[in-house]
Amino acid sequence: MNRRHFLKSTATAALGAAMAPAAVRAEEPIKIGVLLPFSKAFAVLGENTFAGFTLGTKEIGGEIAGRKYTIVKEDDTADPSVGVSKLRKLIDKDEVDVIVGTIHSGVAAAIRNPIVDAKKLWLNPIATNDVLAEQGCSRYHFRFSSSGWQASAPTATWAKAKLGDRAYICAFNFAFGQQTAAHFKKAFEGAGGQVVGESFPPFGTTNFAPYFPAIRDSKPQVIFANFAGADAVAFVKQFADFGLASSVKIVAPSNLVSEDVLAAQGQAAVGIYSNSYYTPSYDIPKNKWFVKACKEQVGKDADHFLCAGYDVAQALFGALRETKGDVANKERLIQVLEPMKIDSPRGRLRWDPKNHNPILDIHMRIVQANPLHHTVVDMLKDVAHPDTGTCKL
Amino acid sequence: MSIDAILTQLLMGLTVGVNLVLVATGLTLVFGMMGVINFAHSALFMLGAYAGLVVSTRLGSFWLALLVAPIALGLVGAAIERGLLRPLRVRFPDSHLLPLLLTFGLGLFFEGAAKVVWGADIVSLDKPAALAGAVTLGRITFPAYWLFALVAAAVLAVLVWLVVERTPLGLSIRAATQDPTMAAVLGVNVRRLTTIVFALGSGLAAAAGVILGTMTSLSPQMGGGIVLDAFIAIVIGGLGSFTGAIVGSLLLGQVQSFGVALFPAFHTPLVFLVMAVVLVLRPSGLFGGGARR
Repeated sequence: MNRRHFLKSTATAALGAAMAPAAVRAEEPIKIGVLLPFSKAFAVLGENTFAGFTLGTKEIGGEIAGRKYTIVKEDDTADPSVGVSKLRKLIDKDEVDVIVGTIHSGVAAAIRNPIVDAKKLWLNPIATNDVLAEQGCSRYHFRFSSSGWQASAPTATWAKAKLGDRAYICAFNFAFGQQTAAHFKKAFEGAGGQVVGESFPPFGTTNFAPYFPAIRDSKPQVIFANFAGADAVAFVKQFADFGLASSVKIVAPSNLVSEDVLAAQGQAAVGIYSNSYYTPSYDIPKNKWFVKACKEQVGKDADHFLCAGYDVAQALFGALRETKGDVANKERLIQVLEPMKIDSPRGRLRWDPKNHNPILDIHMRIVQANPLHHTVVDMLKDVAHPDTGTCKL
Repeated sequence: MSIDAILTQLLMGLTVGVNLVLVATGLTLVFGMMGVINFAHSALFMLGAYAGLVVSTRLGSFWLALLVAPIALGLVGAAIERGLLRPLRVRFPDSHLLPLLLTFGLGLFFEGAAKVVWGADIVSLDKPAALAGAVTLGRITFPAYWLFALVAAAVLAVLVWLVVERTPLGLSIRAATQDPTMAAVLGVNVRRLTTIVFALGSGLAAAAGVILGTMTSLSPQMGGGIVLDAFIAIVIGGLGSFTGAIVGSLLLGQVQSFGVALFPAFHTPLVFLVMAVVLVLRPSGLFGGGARR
C-alpha cells in the first residue's frame, strides 16, 4: 500500500467511524496480520500477493460492515525461523484477529502450530505444503492456491500421455520441491512411465550448469522442474543455453514460468509446459476486469500470486460482511467460509469440506512468444487433493 | 559419469572459477592493505550488473555495458575509499572495526538504494545476439556465451596478474598488501595505492557482475552468494594473497562443479569441508604469509 492510498483509506475509515453508531465506534478495528516474504529471493512473490490483496481492500474501502480494519505487514524473508518470530509478534504484540500468509512451504509448516494454538483464522494465499491438507490440516486454515499434489501429480499423468515415457526430476531441496517431486514420480510411474533420474539443488542456486551433464546422460524426454523466483530464471536460461531445451520438454508447476519471472527468462521460456489454477489470458469477464484492474489500480501484471491475494481479500471481507464484522467468533467465520463460492478471476473458487484445500480446474499451459504469454492447451476439471484419511478438521 | 560429462563439468567449473577470481581479487587486496574485509563488495558486484543493465538498455550494446560498468564502479570504489574510508582511518588509525562497520553499512545502503531505484522485480541482462547458441568443442557442446564468460574473465584475470606480478606498480601493491607500514617507510605511497586497489577491485567485481548477470538474473541481493564464495576462496588461498585468491577461486569452481555431480546430497557442506581441511593443514591458507596480523 502506498502512502497516499494509506492516508486516503484511513481518512475514509475515520469518516465512516464518525458517522457510525456509538457502540460500533467504540470497538477496536479488525486487525489483519499479513505475513509474507518482502525481501530476499521471494520478495517479488510476496509483493505481488500483497498487491492482489490490496486490490481487494480497494474494492471494499476503509471498513467492513461498519468496522474499521487495519493491516499489519511483516516480512518472513521466506525463512522458517524468521517467519515464526514475526508470527509471534503479530499474535502476541499486535494481537491480530486474522493471519494472511504465506508463500514458502517451510515457513507455512513452521507457523502452523502457533496459529492453530492461538485459534486465529488463517488464510493461506500460496504455500502449497501438502501437510496442510493431510495430517497437519486445521479448521482454521483455508488455502487459496493448490496443494503440492495438485501442482504436480496431474501434470505427471498428462505429461506421460502427451510428451513421453522417460522423465527426469529437478526440484528445490525443501518441502515444496521434494513433495512435488515425489508426487510427480509416483503419478508418472503409476501411468507406466520411467523416472530416469533426480536432483535437488538448494534454494538460492544461481548456477545450475553442474546438474546438466547427468541430465543429458540419462536421456529423458521430459523434465519436471520446480523452482521459483531468481532460481527459476537461472534454471530456465541455463537449460536453454546448454541446448537441453531442444531435446527435453520442461513441465512444471506454474511458479517456474509465472509472470514475475517470464520477462527475465525471455525466449528461453518458450515451449515450457506448466500447471496452474490461473492464467492471465483466461477468457472470462471477471478475469478481463481483474487483469485491467491489476494494471490500473496496483500497477502490476496479473498473475497467480495476485489472483490468490485478491481471492483472500474477497473471502475475508465476504465472510466478515456475513458475520457483520464479528471477527471474534472464529467458528462462525469458518462456517461461512466453508461453503463459500468465490467469484474469482480463475473461475469459481470453492473448498473441499474434508480439508479446506481448494477444488481446482487445472490449466495446462504452454509458453508462447511475441509477446511472451501462456496459452491454455488443456483443462483438468475438478481436481481435489486425494483423501488420505489423515485430515481431522 | 561419461567422458563428455566430465569435460563439461570441468569447463563449467573453470567458467565459474575465473569469474570468482575477478570478485576475489578486490576482496583479498583490500584486506591485505587495510586488514578489513570489504562488506560492500557484494553491493559493488550488484551495482556493476545494474550499471551494465542501464547501459545495455539505453545504448543497446552489451559490449559497451561491459566497458562502462567496470569503469563507473571503479570510480565509485575510488570515491568510497577517498571520501569515506580514508577520513575514518585517519581519525581512528588503530580501529579495524570502524572501517568494517562502514563497509557493512554501505553494503546495506546500496542494496536498499538499488531496490528503490530499480525495484525488487527480477530483471535480466540480455546476452549479445552474437553469443546465442552453443559451440562444439571436440566431443562436447558448450554455450557460446559461457565460453565467452570463461575467456573474458580469464583475459582480465591474466591482465591483472601481469600488472600485479610483473610491473613496478604491482611490486608496490604486493609490498603494501604484505606490510603497509614497512612499505610506507620504504617510500611507497600506500595511500595512493589503497585508492588504486579499491578502484581496481570494485571495477573487477563490476565486470563479473555484468558477465554473470546475463547467465542468471539481477536483483538487489544478487551479490551475496558469489561474494560468500569469493570469501571462502580467499580464506582457502590465504587472506591478502593475490596468488591465493586465484588458486582458491579456481579450486572452489571445480569443487562446486564436481561436488554437484559426485556428491549431490552433500555438495554445499563439501565446500566448507574443503575450507576446514585447508585451514587445519595450513591455518593461514594455501598462500597465506603466516606472519600477517
